Amino acid sequence: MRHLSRTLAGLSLLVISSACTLTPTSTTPHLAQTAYHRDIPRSILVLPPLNETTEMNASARYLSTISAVLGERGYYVPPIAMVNQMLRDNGLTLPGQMHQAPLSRLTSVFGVDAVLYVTIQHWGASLGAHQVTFDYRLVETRGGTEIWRRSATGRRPINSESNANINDENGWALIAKILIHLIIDSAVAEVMDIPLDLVRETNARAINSSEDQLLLGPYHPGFHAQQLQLSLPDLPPQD
Amino acid sequence: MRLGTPLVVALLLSALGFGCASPTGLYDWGRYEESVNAVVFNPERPADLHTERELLAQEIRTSLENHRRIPPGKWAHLGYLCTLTGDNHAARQHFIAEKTLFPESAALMDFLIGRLK
Repeated sequence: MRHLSRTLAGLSLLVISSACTLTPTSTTPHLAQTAYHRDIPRSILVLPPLNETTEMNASARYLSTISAVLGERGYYVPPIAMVNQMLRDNGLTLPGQMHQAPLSRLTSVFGVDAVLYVTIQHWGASLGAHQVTFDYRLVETRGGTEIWRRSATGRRPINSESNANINDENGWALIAKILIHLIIDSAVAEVMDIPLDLVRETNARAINSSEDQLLLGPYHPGFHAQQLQLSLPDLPPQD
Repeated sequence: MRLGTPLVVALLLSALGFGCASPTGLYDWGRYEESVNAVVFNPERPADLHTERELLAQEIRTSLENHRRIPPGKWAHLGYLCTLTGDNHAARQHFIAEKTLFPESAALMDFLIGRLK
């Protein structure tokens, strides 16, 4: 009986300690990253991204790829299509102007704790692959401090999607295919169009990956465990 | 040796994910992001907007019936679709719903409700 109870105690302790660890990994975040944990934003306004590429639709297409990732991370994200329209109605027609807007002006309407500034650095197809590169900068609105920053690249061979009839990822094969399409029809745009799930994957990697991840937001089930872990004083080193 | 068995059982249990919330799937996103894309690229086609609005409203009803959580922004987005289709009365209801569900949206929703006539 004593043996059984000891077994059960050990079992339950292990189960409890294994339950609800931080996702995706329980590695301790860096100190610089955790400096803001006492004042974690509840809401994040995502501005339409600044587009440094020549792909004209990139910024508008990006809009439908970021809300779910941030929402699942535990943050409130204002409805992005409406935000975009409201900014335009107020004379900020280009992402560049939106990114220059004073924080006080943004908070007076949107009432958010933080603003996410995304820059599209790459958005296109080359050498048989789709590739996107983004830079992310999260700024809290009360003091204007940057609380998180990172960049991420997503790359995927073009023939891994709907173009299964090309079997090698050779650049010449793609060029040949494009030439054929140019002659036959205008499906080139389809080949060159960045699939939005690649953009979503890249966003998710930037936000959720264990290295320099964005801390969990208040709606995430792991939020309280995270806050507890971050607020515990460092244990003295063992002799 | 005695410790071996509980350890193995506990590891098995933890591997099965006992007591752990799923890392994804807090919300019923449904077609929300798809709808964002549709609205951003087709703002001047009222017929599409009416369809979009009906699809989104149906999804929200289904989520509610299944006791699934409506994601942040989705209800307000439906309200936005209502303003685009000229139905300010419905828009107001949806903005109030968003604000009730997510108090973080209160400032923005109050601003929007104030502008509806």
